[in-house]
Amino acid sequence: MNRFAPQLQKISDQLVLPPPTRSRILLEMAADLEDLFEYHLARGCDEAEAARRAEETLAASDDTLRHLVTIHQSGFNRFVDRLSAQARSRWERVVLVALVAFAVLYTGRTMATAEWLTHASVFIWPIWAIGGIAFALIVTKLYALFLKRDRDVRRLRSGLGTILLLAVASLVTGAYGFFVELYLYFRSIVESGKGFPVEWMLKVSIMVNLSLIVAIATALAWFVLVNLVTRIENLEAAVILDS
Amino acid sequence: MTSTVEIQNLTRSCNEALILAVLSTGPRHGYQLALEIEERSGGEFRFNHGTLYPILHKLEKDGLITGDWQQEAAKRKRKSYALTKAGRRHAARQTQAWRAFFDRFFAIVGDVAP
Repeated sequence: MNRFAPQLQKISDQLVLPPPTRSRILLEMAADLEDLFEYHLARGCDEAEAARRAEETLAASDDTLRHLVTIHQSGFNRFVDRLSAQARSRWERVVLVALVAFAVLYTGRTMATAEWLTHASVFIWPIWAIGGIAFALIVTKLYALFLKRDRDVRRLRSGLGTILLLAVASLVTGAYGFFVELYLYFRSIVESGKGFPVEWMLKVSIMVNLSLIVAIATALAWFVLVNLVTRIENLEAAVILDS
Repeated sequence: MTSTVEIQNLTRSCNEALILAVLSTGPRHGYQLALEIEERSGGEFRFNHGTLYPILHKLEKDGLITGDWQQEAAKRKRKSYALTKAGRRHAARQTQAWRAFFDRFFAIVGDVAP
């Protein structure tokens, strides 16, 4: 067992932070405590004295921990922490996946019968592009996690924010496309004196549906990836405290 | 990021300046920073009760230093800190601020007769 495990456990209990941040802080403290312990041991201290000196310098007091929490807490960290807490509930995950699968499959089946090229707005092409990039990034992360078995948390976390941004980009593109098409439709009425609302609605609804599917699927993939990486970080912290 | 010495947070300003000064000579792990500052100051400046970590993490969040995780063979990962370009500029400004601070301090304190 890690000689500093009791101290680290106490610190872990008081670090009220999202698991990834807490794990990183504990990892850092554990490594520094061990190195400082070995430093004092090499200079002639016995094990008890070396451990005492290391803890005196680096083991955080209550005030220090409160200060650390203040520095690291942010709105985004609180949001991710809530998501991670929810993910622990198996039923919530099952219901979430079932709802999203129903939405994607039902809408996808309906969309598969739509005549894309004939009726769709040109804005479906940037949305397809966003979906393609998101898909490539997600596949890369899944490859790293399951096939390459990469456990470098920093490498795994990099790019996850981009996946979420792509989900938002899909929504924004769909919304922007909607308003552009609306303007073009009204302009055609002004110029030609007639408009075809059913055709316009078909055109725009294909685009909006696609934008929503891409956004939901990408956001769901991001959610799953973030929780997988969080689990790896928690396992690392657990190894430190138990070793 | 202020370039004057904050009287209200003198200890924090002092600790930040010490850490940035040591990092200006090369990257260090957290425990190396604590040791080097204590040894070079003859024990005058010491970090206790983990006070090093809030300072390091705040500096990293402000973009003045970067933390890099390194894995050495058969050892656990360690975090090493290095000064960024912005950190180097801030450290230089801070050094000047401390010099100005002590000039003003001794202008008042002067030579007090025993």
